[in-house]
Amino acid sequence: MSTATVDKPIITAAHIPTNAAATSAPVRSPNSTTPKTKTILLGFDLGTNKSCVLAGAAGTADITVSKVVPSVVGYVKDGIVDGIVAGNRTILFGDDALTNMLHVKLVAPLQQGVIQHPDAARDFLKHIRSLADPSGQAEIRAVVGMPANADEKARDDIRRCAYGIFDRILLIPEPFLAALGYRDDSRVGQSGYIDPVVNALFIDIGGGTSDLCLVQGYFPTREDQISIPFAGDAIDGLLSDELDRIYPNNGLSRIKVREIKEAHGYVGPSRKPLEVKVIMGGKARSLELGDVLAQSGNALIDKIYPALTTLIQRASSDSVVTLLQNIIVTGGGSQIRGIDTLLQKKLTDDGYETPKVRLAGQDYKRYVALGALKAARAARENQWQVLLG
Amino acid sequence: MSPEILSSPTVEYSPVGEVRRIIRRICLLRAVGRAPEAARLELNELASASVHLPGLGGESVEAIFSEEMSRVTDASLVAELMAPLLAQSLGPLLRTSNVGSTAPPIATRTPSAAPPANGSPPSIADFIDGMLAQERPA
Repeated sequence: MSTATVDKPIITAAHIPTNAAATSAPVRSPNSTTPKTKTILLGFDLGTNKSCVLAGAAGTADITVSKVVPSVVGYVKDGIVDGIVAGNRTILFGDDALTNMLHVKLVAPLQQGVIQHPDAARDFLKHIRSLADPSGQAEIRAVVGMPANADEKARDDIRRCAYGIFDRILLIPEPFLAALGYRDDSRVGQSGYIDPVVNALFIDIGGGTSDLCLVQGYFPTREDQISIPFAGDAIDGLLSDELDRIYPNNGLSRIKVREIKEAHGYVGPSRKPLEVKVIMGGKARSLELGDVLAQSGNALIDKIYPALTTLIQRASSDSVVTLLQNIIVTGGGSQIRGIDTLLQKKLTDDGYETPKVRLAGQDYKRYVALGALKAARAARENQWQVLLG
Repeated sequence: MSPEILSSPTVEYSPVGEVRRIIRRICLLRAVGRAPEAARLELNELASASVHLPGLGGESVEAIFSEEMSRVTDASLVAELMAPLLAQSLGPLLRTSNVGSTAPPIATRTPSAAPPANGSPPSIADFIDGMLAQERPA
């Protein structure tokens, strides 16, 4: 079941030639006759598994909405009796959808960072809009994160889905937004502070893709970015396959497998014993997962390490020493235990000059969206792309 | 073609203004050879906007069409005349611009992917300029 259609063609018109501030007089949606009384800026990390939205009124520094929402839409199945689903809603989103998974058909709008189910994506974007603007009266300008080196089709798919939901849009690669979000603006210019936007290498490990990006004081070129279609979901897949092999008919759902990974995942040498308690067929069982978790986690390292060294080698000799001090791992994958120390050790073992790999920290879920909101606030009027019908 | 005809985000809302804006977009789409999209706009948005109008303040849809088409034609002529002059005077600065694109070729400053010469960190808007420059076809 879907409430959305995506059959409308779009025109994207960049560079509207005006110097008017975003806070200026009422503006209107390109496809609506309703006058818009205010402008809300959105920083939106549209992730494969989780999305994060930060929003605030144009012309202010306030963040009025800050939410992390699982990227999933639940369409309530036919025949569900009244009152089972709160409010008798027909579509649920995020945690609500997951909580009611027995009564809904779950659809993940994205796969490997790009839109896979346009109708569900449109429903999801409508939900995001409603979080930022419950009145539905504001003009919405959204900066949306994209996987590094996303192709034009992926970008068009986002624009098409956003038509009629967001009024203006900018699509910016996620690792660059992560750098902007991670940047401590209050310390920029202080001695000793290495501005991550001036010289850093970001590794953003999401659900669908792992994106690596050199950020060196200019907007990264295609050569500065590498996107690998191997990330959290792929680890879940490996883990699930291995569990099925060792414990046939275990009945563990992919969501449960992900929970196991998030609670116990690590990289590096196998840590045994690592017993994990699960419920199988209604009975509690303790599974030895030390090797399984190591194998699946290290598979990620095998994918991203060659990309990391490739980007380091592409950096100029003048910048590379400082760059090596500023390698930052973010995204959900940064929570895999030992990922920073293992990458740093591998670089050291390979002879790189005193590398330092750090984790972005507890706010890893929000850096892309925070960078997107910063970009939305800084974007010039003529940089927004208008979605026309 | 003047990019101003694509959008006037600072104009105060009025029903007549809305109808005029839609008609302007229809004319623009027709002018750039996107007749099917123009027709769709006319069928959907224009029809809807016109229905909700108590009256057009004395202006007929046909008159607005005529006026807006004239403006779009004039703008196209001006653009046609100005383009070679601008190309000549700006020379290499235009190499990264999107000549021939239906998107308005506006950039009043040349986006650059390079950091500023004074060593200060570039602004976020400068980064976005760099990104937009990369997105334009060579």
